[in-house]
Amino acid sequence: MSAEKDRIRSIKDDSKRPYRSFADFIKIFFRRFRSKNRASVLLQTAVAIILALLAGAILVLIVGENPIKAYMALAKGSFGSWPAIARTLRVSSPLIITGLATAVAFRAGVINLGVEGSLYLGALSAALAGIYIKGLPLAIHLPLALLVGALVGGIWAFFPGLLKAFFGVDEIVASLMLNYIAVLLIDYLVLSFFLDPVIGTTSDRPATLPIPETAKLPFISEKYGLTIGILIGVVLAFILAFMYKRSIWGFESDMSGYNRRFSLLGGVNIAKMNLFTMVISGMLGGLAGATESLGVYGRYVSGFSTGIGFDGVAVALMGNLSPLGTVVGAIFFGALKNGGAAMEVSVNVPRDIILVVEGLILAVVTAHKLFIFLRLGLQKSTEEI
Amino acid sequence: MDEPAVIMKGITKSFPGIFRSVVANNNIDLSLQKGEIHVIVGENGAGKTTLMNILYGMLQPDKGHIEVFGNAVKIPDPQRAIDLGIIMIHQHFMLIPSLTIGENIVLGREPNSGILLNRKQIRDIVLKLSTDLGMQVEPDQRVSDATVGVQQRVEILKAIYRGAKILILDEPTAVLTPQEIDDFLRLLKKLSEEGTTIILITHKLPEVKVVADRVTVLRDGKVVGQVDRANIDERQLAEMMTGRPYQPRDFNQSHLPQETILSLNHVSCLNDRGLNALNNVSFSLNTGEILGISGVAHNGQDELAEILIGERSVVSGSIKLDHREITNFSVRKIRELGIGYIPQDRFGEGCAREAIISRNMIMGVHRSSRLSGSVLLKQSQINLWSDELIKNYAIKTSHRDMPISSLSGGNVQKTIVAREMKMTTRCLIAEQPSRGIDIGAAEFIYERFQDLKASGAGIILISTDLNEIMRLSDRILVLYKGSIVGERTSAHTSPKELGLLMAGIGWEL
Repeated sequence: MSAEKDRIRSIKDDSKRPYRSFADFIKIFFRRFRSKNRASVLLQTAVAIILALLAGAILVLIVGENPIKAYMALAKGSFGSWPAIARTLRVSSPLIITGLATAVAFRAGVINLGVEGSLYLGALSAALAGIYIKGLPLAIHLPLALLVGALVGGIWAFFPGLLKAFFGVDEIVASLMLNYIAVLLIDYLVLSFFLDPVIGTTSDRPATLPIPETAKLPFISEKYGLTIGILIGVVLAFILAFMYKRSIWGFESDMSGYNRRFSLLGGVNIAKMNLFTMVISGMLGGLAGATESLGVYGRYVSGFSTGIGFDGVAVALMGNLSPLGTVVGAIFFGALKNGGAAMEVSVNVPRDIILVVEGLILAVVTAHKLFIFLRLGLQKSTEEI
Repeated sequence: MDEPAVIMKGITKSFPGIFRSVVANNNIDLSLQKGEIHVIVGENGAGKTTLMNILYGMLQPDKGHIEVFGNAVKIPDPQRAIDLGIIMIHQHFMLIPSLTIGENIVLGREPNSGILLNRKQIRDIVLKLSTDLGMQVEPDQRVSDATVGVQQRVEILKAIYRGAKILILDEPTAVLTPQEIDDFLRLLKKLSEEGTTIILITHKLPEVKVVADRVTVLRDGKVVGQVDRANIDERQLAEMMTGRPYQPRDFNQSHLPQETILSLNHVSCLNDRGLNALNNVSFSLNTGEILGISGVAHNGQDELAEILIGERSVVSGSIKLDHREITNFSVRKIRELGIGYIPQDRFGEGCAREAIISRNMIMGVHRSSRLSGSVLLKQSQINLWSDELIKNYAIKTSHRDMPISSLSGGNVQKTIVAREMKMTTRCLIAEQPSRGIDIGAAEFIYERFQDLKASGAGIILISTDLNEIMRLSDRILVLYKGSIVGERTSAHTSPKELGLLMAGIGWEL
């Protein structure tokens, strides 16, 4: 017990400048990331988006297209019709959950960058639970498969959490590196043990056997791949929003994110909080993966995630780390991705441009916060003088 | 002597806010004679620091002009101020610990022979400077090995070496022992006799009387009065600062039947670097008693507070509360037993500045059955709790859900004190409870301590401010290098005696 406390002490001072390392800086930045004033958050985000779109317009001009036409195509392609909306929501569904996974961690001051790894593990294990557990009705089989996905994702995040809580290992690096292990480990497992013999010989993307209907997420729109996964995300967001507002856990989590030392002195068990937060974050990541393999793919497909776990970081930051804001951020990101495809087809703008705009928006939103943060930091140092 | 060194005229500075702007300096006139010691006093937020930051070039005034030695000047940045001979010595020393005292003094203006540092020359310069001023320093000693008092001398020598003609000192005595304070004030007088103009900002009124040639009192951004040396009266100054009648109360010694609340038996612990921080410390705290722990900063006070609240583990020995073993209990358990803790660093340890007031007011009690169930917080109870504390502690805020960062320093401290006292049923550990807050807020907090005493709880008051310790404590323990080197009652000791104990003099193993 005492050794554990001493280890916590070694991390307790990280809210005090000067930053010892870049990782410290990142951590403190994200910890203080959240703005309090809701109106100003909306305004800042709106301004950031407009600035990024303007910068994107310049790029479109450079490739010799009309930016207004391009953005019209983008808007139409993302929200212009029911198919467009359905496709946008389909892309947003897993982003909501990975966004929540990131927000939960960042709010508590734990920088979990391993959501991607949890996502992969969750996707495969949920698929396996769907395929190899037999004879259950949908009402039991589906929740069970989702739960398995979440649990395995949580277990994966448990390890960096454990390293952080008890050995003071930096969770940023540990969780990030575990992603690579997760992806390669899963490819190995699928190729060696769970390969669908038919697809295995015809496709370059290894996949498992298809999941039976009893474990598949019901579709809202089968044509556009939209499942009730989006409802799971939204419901989770509401639950989390409530927990942050009203529960002991939400209070302690936020307070540890704001000021670790203060929370420690107020009786919060920081080591436990870190570990618990990591696991919850990993579980959400695993669940996001499960909704993908049990949903639109109907099997585990190797390399299905195009960085959904990492996009969760952007989504959570755009949502100011609030659960409901994260939903909005996810839908916005989904719209960009989906509309970007439409833009590529109808106007002659390379898809890379849309990726650049995505990146710009994120950069401007976070740069603005960074600016506030640095200015506050400066003010603080003159106060101390 | 009557030639003005600095004239600041009509200085106005306001900070724009979203809802209203704050006028920190409102048409302030200040003139300093060459070679005088000019003390500026005022409550927190009166505008002292803003005014000095303007003179030092860190802030630009909205209106007004500044003359230095008869020339109208603009001071866009501290570099310009330094060029003009204005040097500010900050509360936190700006020294490089791993360099020697001599190297620190000449840093930036090193005497050199080619590209090599001429160490002998540095030594000569520093020795000459220090003997001229009559303050002894050892040029080859590392700053990290020097005491705080010596470090402060180094700061001043450095300023003089850089050609300071006007020296701004912000609360310089907060970190010194009584003997060091005496030496320091003597040094200031000597400097002023030699023609250096000194501006001193302080909260400690007794020092003002000793050292000031003139005193300017600020309140709410305005000059409310100027007092000459002959007419300095502590009480009158306090009334000018606060705008209210000031009557320091004599706090009574306790008359309750004395029972032991908390006892420490041969307790030892380590500091963050794994070295001994407390050695074999034993004492007990009685009901209705304030036990003062005095000592120069960093002699084990921080660690003592931390083991009492359960945040640091005890290596050997035992701690008992009401004759029950609580050694190495978790913070949560210790808080549940009714121990409160006012930490010394308001923003670093005492609150979360991003959170709202009511949330800050429940940390540590948020798991009590009054404020929460097994999973959820009882929001209506939290609101009642917060409103009650805001009212009882006269915390100036428009609403309990305002961010705590919207409060002034004194009100933040009151918020912390309110929370901790409200949850204290047995014992309160108060570390530097009045640091950096004005007299009004400090007196208010002292009064509440008396209420807590009367209710039968005990208070462990850890402070480096001897006046505070002597005025409030029933008994005083002196901590030196992690050991208790003396126990006195307030009635039978003097600042001088305590000062010697704090410096480790007269202590035989």
